[in-house]
Amino acid sequence: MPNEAIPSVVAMLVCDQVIIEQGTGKKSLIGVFERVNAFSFPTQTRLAIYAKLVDASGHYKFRIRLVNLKDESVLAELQAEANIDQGSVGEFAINIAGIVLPTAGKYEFQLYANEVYLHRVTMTAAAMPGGLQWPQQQQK
Amino acid sequence: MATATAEIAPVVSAERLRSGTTLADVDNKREPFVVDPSDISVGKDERREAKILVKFTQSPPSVTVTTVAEIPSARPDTILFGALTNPELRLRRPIPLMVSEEAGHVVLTWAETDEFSCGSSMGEALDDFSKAVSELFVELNGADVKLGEDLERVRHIMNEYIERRKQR
Repeated sequence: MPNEAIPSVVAMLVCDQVIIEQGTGKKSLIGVFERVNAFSFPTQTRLAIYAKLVDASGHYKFRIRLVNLKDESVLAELQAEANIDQGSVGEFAINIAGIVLPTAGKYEFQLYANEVYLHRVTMTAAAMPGGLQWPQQQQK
Repeated sequence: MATATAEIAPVVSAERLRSGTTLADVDNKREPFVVDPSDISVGKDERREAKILVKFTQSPPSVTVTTVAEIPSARPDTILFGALTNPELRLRRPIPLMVSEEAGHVVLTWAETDEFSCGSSMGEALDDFSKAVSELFVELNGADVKLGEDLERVRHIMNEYIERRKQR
C-alpha cells in the first residue's frame, strides 16, 4: 500500500454533463440527477461524474466502477492517475457516453484511490410506466 | 464586452477504445470530444484500453478505460476501507476488511478488532461500517472513559488507524 494520505471525498455527484470554463477551470455541473428513466431496457445513456477530494497529497491511481447492485457485477471501470499537492483540493470531472444499463434497478459508482475504497454514489434506473412509443412503433 | 469560453470535460466512450490508442491530442484541439460507443464488442479474452485526458486541478493525468468481456464481481474477498464519513475524523491508513456473505447479506469484518458490519450490498455494508467504527472510536476515546483490557486493546488498535481531524 502506498504511503499517500487517504483523501476524503466531500462531494461526488452524477449529472448529465460537466463543463469546464477555460481560464478559470471552474466546473459547471449540468443536470444533477439520481434517477434515469427509460422506455425499455437495456438502455444507453450519457452521464458525467464529478468528485471533490480533500486531504489528498501525492500520487494517486483513481478507479471508478459502475456496479449493478442487482448482482454486484462491474459494468464499467475507469482509471486515472494524478498528482495532488498537499493542502490543495483535488477535483475529478469526466463525461461518459454510452453507458449501457442492462435492466431497471439500482446502480452504484464506486470511487477508489490506490485501491482504497473512498466513496459511492447510487442512481436508479426506472422503466417509464406505459411509456410513449416511438412513431414507427405505434400500431395503426 | 468580455467573452467566456468553456470546454466540455472529456467524454469517455468505447467506440474508439482500441488497444494502445492514445487520445492525448484531444485537449489541444479544444473541441468537444464526444464518441458514440454503441458498437461495443469485445472478444471473450480481449481487453481494450485507451488513454484519454481528464481534467484535474493539479496535473494533466491520463485515464485508462477498460472494457472487459467477462463481467467481474464488484465484491472482492478483502477491501481496503478509506471512507470515514464523520467529518471530525480521518484515517491514518486504510482499514483492511474481509468480505463475506451470510444469509444473503454482505458482512465486513475488521479482524484485528473483531468489529463487523453488514448490508444488503457491499456499499451498504461499507456505509454501516463507517458509521459503526466512527461511533466506537468517539466512544472509546471519550473523556473519563475507563476501559477493560479488551476494549483498551481495541482502542489502541483503532488509534493506529484513525485520528481526530485537526481544527483549522
